[in-house]
Amino acid sequence: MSIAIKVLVVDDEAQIRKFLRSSFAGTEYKVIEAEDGASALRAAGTEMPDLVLLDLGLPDMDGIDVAKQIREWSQVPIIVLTARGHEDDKVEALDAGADDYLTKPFSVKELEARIRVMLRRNIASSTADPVIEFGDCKLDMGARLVYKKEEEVRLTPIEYKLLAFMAKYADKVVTHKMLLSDVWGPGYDYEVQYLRVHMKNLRHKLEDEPADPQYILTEAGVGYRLVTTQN
Amino acid sequence: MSTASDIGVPNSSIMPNEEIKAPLIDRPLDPEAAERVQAPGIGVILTIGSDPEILLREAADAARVRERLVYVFIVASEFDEKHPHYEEWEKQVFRKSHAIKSDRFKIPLVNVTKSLEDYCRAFDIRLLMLEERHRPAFRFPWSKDLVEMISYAPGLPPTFIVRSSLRLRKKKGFFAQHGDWVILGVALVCLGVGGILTRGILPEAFELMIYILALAIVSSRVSRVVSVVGSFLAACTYNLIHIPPYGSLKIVEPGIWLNLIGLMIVSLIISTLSWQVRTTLTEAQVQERRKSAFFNLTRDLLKSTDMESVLKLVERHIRDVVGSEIAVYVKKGDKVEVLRTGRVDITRSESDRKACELALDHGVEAGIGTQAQPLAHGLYLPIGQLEGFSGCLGVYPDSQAGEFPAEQLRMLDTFTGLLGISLQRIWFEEVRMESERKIRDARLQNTLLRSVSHDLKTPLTSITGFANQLYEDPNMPADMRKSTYQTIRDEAWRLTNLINNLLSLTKLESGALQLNKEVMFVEELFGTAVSQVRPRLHGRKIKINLPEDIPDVSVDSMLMNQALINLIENAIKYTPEGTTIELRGSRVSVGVQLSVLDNGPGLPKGSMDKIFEKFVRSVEGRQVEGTGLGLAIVRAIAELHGGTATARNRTTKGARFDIRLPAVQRELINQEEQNEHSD
Repeated sequence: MSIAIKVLVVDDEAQIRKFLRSSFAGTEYKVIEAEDGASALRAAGTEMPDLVLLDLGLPDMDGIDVAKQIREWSQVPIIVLTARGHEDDKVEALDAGADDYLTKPFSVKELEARIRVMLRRNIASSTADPVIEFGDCKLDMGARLVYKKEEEVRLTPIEYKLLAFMAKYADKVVTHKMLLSDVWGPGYDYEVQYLRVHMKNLRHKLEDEPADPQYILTEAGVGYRLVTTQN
Repeated sequence: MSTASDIGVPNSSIMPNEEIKAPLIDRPLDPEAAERVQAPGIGVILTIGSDPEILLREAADAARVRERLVYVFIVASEFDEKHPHYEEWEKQVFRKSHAIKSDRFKIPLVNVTKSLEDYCRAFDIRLLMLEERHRPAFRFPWSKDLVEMISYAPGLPPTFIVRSSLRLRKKKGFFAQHGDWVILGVALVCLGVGGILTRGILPEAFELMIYILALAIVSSRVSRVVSVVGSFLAACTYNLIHIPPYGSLKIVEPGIWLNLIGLMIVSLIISTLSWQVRTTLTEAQVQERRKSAFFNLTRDLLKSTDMESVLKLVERHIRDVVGSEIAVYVKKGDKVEVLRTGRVDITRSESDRKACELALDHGVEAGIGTQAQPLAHGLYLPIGQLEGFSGCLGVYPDSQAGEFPAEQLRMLDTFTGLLGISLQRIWFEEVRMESERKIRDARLQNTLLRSVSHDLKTPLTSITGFANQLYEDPNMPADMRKSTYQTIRDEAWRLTNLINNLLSLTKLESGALQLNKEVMFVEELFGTAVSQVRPRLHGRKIKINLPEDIPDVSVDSMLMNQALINLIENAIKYTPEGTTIELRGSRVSVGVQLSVLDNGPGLPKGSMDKIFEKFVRSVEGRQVEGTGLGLAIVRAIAELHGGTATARNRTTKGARFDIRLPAVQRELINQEEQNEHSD
């Protein structure tokens, strides 16, 4: 067995920590626990985890602040855990630097799938793969070309930028704000309407059935996710 | 004794006498003194003027304030001090104010409003009494006297003007004042001139008749005094012109006396009679007008059941009868509600605001023509003593007329009373409806609670039961153990779903939810929902049917996504595997329709509307797992968007669910714009 992958679980509920600990028992994951924000920040510094599972409702400080503070010095993937109905928190956490989210209650399967994506992309991004394939589509970032069924697809510059940005975060959620400020610049943070129009066009160019998309998925109220692997 | 320096009066000789113990305060206010003044009472009246006794008596009468009062007397110095009798006067004022246990506070006229404001704040003074001052014959239009300065000052409490003969009324024109005399004069001149021209031509009896006729006409138009004087003057004119010697009042023949006296008596009787007839007629007319106005308003008010129509009626009747606009203010607790605004905005006009406050808080008639805040633009009448709130009716005379005549005031009083009764009636009606709504809500909640507790308890019972079994029987066979675990897991999921749905529904129905609307493509809405339910389709196929020109919708994307998912999941539950679920978007007259169609068994007859109620599941669906809340959530979301959610059976096999949304005003960015952005 290779070196254990350290997962820092930050949650004030002992039951949730117990559940995660027992779920990961006997796998390559090693669970480190923290029950509040302060000890989470300490553990993130001393234990150097490979991934952080962060509950947003912490007793001593806001989970979003925890994510922000970790981001100041570390690129460790952060998955936030949210209670249903707190979508704004979710978006705020993603904008603050978290990489993905899971809504409670979630199954271990879902969690493992997310963790796998995080760790894979985290390793992959360090090698900066210039070609990304999803389904019958191919994005060549080196040549700035996009193919569908081996044929070149003509994208406008904005569409290309959007696709490339989503590809950089393949399988992870990207928020409206992230996309807007990357493609249009900081002034356009609230012009989600622009984004919808271009995403629609992108879907029409890349998807077989734009109303039943396979690759460019909308995360309602949050943003988009480019799916490159079919589970 | 150091009292002189206490009051800050420069000359100690003006102190009235030694037994004064009431605190005397001068600026700057020292906190200890403030405490002493404040101690004896709550409501405070402050008087400014020369005679404290009159001021205070008038103040108590006018304000109808029954609280214990502290009287504070202010001498505005500066100018007055130069008066030769100033010291004598001040001494007298101080003695009087002492006699009525009043405090004295001397402030300079410079910055008088600022000083007063500080004082009022420090001593919690709620009303001001001011003595009216005589206005100088000439002054600059921009200069203000003390009364005006204080009335208009925003930081000061409402003001009463005492011994008010202060009127803003314009002087009547010459004709309006002396018109009767002019008429009489003209008539006499006509008679005289006519008499000289026709002298000797007409018979004597005819001349007398013309005089009597002229007097009868004049006295039907003029006041009584004028017509009595007119009779005498007419007799003199007759004598001058028609009785020889002409041009002199000398009477030669004794028989002429009879003529003259006869003329006077007849004309006096005529003038008296015509005056009586006129008075009776006018009174009858006034009475009639009042009665019919009162009757009409009462009749209409009885018919109206809502606030708006009551206000409209009163507004119309007052406009008809008095010819002025109205304003209606209602105070509930500490909050003043504006039901109608008149010509004057009370948030702008300080004197009107104060007058309105007096009417609302103290039940005093205030504003123009009264003693309280007479400088206001309108008259503010308190609307009786009402249960739960107080109100006031503001009326604004034409700027020409100045104030309202007594007759109109009486009518306004009647109208105010009627308005009060109507407002009270509506208020009671509102209270009744509110309590009825509460009862209905409570009943509904009870039913809900029963269903919820049933639906919550059932899964909990099986979870605890099975968990116990597992705990107590370690030798359970493996396959049984597995199915037990499975039940526990499924039931736990059911509970989770139920609680999540309950939470969403509560949030949707609480009315506190802020819709985060944005213009969305139907295509994207469908796509998002489908990609989320795909793992749960279990072999069912999804077909999407969207016309090219489907209009965009303005929705809260998260909520609409939830509604669509609920509809698809509902279809999944009630249809066999392998069938197709269709998502269809179409343009309808009201806007856009989003439909979910299935090939399942369809809906039982008569359940089309019921299935959207909470905890209702179709009879066949009893075995199907679910919370009975999914469709209720769909309907709540559709209605929040100003749309509808309905269900019906398809003409072919299966059921269809439709969400109709109103058309969106603005389409998403059009094609041209979009291309510009891209390139």
